[in-house]
Amino acid sequence: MLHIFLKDARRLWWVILATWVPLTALAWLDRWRTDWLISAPEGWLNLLVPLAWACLIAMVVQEEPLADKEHFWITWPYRWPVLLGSKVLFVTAFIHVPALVADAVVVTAHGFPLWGSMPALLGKQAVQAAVVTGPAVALAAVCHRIPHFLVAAILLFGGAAYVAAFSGPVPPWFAPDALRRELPAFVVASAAGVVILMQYSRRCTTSSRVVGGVSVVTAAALFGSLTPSLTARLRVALSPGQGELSLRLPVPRPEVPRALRVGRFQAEFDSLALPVTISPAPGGAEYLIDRPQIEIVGSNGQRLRSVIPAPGLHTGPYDMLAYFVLNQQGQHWLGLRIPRRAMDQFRGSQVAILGRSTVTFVERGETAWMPAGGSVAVPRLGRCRTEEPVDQLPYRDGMLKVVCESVAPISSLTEVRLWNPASGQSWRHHLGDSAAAAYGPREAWLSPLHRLQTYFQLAAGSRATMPGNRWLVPLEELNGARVAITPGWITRSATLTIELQALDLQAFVVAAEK
Amino acid sequence: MSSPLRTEELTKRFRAVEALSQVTLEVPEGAVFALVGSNGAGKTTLLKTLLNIEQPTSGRAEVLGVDSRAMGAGQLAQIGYISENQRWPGWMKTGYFLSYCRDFYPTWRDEELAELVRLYQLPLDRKLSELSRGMRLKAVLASALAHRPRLIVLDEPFSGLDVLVREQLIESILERTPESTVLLASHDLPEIESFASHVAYLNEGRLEFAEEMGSLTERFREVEVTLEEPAVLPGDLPRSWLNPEQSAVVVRFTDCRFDGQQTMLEVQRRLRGVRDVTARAMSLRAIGVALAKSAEASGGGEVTSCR
Repeated sequence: MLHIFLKDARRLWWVILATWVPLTALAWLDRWRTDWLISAPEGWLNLLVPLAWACLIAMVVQEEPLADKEHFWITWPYRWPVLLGSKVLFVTAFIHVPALVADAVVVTAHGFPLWGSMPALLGKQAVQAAVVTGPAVALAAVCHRIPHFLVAAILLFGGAAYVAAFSGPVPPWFAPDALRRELPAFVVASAAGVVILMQYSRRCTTSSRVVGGVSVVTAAALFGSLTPSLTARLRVALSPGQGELSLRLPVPRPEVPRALRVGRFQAEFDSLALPVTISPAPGGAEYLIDRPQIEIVGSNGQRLRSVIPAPGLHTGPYDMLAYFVLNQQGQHWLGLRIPRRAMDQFRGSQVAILGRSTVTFVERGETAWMPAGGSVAVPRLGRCRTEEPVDQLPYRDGMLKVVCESVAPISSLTEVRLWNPASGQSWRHHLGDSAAAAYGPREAWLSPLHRLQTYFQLAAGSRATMPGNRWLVPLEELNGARVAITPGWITRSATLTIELQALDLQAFVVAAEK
Repeated sequence: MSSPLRTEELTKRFRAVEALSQVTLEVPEGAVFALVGSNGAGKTTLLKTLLNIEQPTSGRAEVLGVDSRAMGAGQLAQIGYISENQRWPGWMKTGYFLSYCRDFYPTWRDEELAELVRLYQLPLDRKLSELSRGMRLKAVLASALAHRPRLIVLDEPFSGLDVLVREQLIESILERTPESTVLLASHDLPEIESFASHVAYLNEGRLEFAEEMGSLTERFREVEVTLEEPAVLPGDLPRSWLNPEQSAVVVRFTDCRFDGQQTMLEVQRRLRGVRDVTARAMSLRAIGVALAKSAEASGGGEVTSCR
């Protein structure tokens, strides 16, 4: 094994060095970055480094090409486990170990302990092996020559990176949807493993290409078809001890919250707000309700089904939208936006609302406090700090930034609260709920540090006290203010069955404010 | 004698094209076995199938006692294979290439290699890609001979080389591996004639015959018949008379089943007014040309009459 490894190293030493240059530059930029948002050079390096790795992998695999029947090695007494082992050793030694070293430098520079971070860093290398180097080895193993590999790699990896970068962020008021990316990645990683074994043990190029092609199509189909409601159902299926929950209308009916009131008359739609409670009551546990899939059934059999917005699906003026809203008093509301033309057919009769959704339960960790402008280590999260950025035009009064870093993924369910003990006023945000507009590749997915941040918008003078500006933080409130970070994570999910009978929809229409 | 190479009803199809059609062949131990045939006859496909580079569509091949599909490093370590189409690691210097080979072959002999390097005058410090075709072939041959393979498989190895280099390479193969079996595919018939012990003829994927060189040259004769007066050739000539042609009173053909007295009687019986019959021995090249012409005349059909 070692002599094949040494031969490859001797042959490709200059390519190995060439891959280390962008990796070093990336680590250098990452080492100094204090923001979730990355610079354009770092964004491009996050694409260039995997591409450089892919080229190196293609070259080392093509030293003994598996799909080329004219190459000398095919009739030499290579033992396939030895050959595969030498390639794995090469990829580990010249890609994963340098990447691990670069990650270690970044992590220690940001104040995280090296040995304590090692499990997370090794886990990151395992993920990279599953989704980058493994598939690259598999692709190189079924390609006849390096140019074929490059064309296929640019199409596949470029397509995946593009889709991943522009598939749209998940709004922070929904449960994070990691399954939509994890399932296709799992399919591709598994297929890559199968292809590598098939190629090295038997050189079944045609069958391997079929397996690879089917996996790519399956992954693309999964990514395209896994709507939030589908992944929610999967979460429920994977959730231990889940029970069924149902909705009911509370008595007496509470007052419609300000957030659901309609500012002006809309000619095309009626907005409805139905107060709902969950049964059986979750007993003080915090939870989120996904967008529901509902159907309104009229007494004469008329039906109207809601549409769930999804990436690539744009709702139109004839679509009914349904959503849940939680007001500050802890009351859940089922909001409906019904096209007036459709609403007319239900007027004067009773209807049933049938459907389903998913309830995701959130567990809160210990709250950590820090002064505005300070930093704090948050148990089970990482390190957080606040800083007031300057030159945030056109927000001339500035913003208070709260940024958290961790070697483990940070949940966007993390609550951030700015509190002034003197005035008793407080403002709330979630990590990741606000970000500046950015163009170009901005995914820092090679970084060993996960970062999320949020901003409190500052306002000087009387601007903060004007109606509708309660979200603005008066500058003077920063004196003596403290910032609380409360991590949160999903514990389980459950199905929510919606079955509300004998309703007069007109009674829930929200009148426009005058 | 055991057979290091054996095929049974071996067939290989590439989509609609049948490159090998039910080839049954046995190569005796220690033979220098020449596989001849025109371009596209299936010689390279047969060698690739034997070495498990291609998988047979049906039938089976056995190499060194193992099914070709199950051939592993143990068998490959006993084989030296050189093909004109092989891709070699051109970036390697000759010396490094030869030392890299060493780790793969348990029977590698450094002293053997040293002799071959001296014999071929190999420049050890030059990259394979910088060597001439002849010199590169010598380097590759040195790597194949230094481990004293039990089986040497050569696919058109000497095409494009000058005569002196060919002679040197052939001599070195025969001298250094007297106990090895050599299977050689070539369409350079005069060259093969000088050293092959056996010959097999492939035509459009079909094996027309496979036999010892001596018996082959013994049964092929160029026959010239002089008649008393011009006559029309009868239509029912024996199928073993290949490419019959007539010019005035002279009739010529190649008899692929020549048997002195028997052929004379057959000539007398088929042709009228025979004045003289002469039968000349044929070179392997002449036999090859006659077979190719006959196959072409029959529209690419098989030359079954010569089996």
